[in-house]
Amino acid sequence: MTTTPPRIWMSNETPQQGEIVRVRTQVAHVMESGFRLDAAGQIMPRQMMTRFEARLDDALLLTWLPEIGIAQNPYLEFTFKAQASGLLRLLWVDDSGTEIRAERQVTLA
Amino acid sequence: MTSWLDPFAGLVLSRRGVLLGAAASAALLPWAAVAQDTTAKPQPDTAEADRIAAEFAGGTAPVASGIGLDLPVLGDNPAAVPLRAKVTEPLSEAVWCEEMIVIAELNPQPLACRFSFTPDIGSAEIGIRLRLIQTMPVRVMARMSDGRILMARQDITVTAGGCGM
Repeated sequence: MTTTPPRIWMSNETPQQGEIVRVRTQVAHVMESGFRLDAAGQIMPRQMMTRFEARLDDALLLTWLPEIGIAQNPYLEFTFKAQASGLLRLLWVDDSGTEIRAERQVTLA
Repeated sequence: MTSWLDPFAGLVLSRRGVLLGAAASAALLPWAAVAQDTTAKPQPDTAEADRIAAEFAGGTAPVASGIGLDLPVLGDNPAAVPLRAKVTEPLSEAVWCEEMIVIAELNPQPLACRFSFTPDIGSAEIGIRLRLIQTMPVRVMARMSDGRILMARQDITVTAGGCGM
């Protein structure tokens, strides 16, 4: 499992009340489907990112459940409506239970 | 006569020899060892995708509107095909998008991913990158909190499969 921190871009960290904020995220992950064979013809074991959550403080915004149709180094873009200041908390979980976390402060202008 | 003006003159024979040797050894290898690098098989038809869609709709007839689907017509890199989908109608505390799924209809596992939204998000727009095994239709479905099912569908052409990557 890699230790590269997730890449995160936010359209505005100090949005107006009601503004739509766009978030782009990408984590480094092999997303091994369990369908591939290695050089010796053996199936490479499945290793997938299976869950993503975005919360503003404790309020859940969205959950994403990627399957094997999602590309390596999963990229996710989403938008949310800025209704309160808080800490945008992002969480990725993979098959082996490894968790990647990231946080960004959102402050209403 | 090989001169310094023609540096490749001396290489022609040996290069041809290398190519012939490579062809000969490739012919001796069993095909299975060089051809197959994945056990993934595309779906023969959209039956599995239709089953997933019907399960998601839960008996409600999908409406082919309300979702803006942004997908290239030609996926030049099937291992990472950008897809963006958005519920285009205004969302509120009363009517929001509860759940959204993306179905790559002929992939070995057609369900590419599933989103669940809460009313707190106040929006329903996502962008992801798919991997596709072949040319196929891609379907996005959304369940609204008032029970409606929205749907958008588009064909995409890809050159080589990306599922083995």
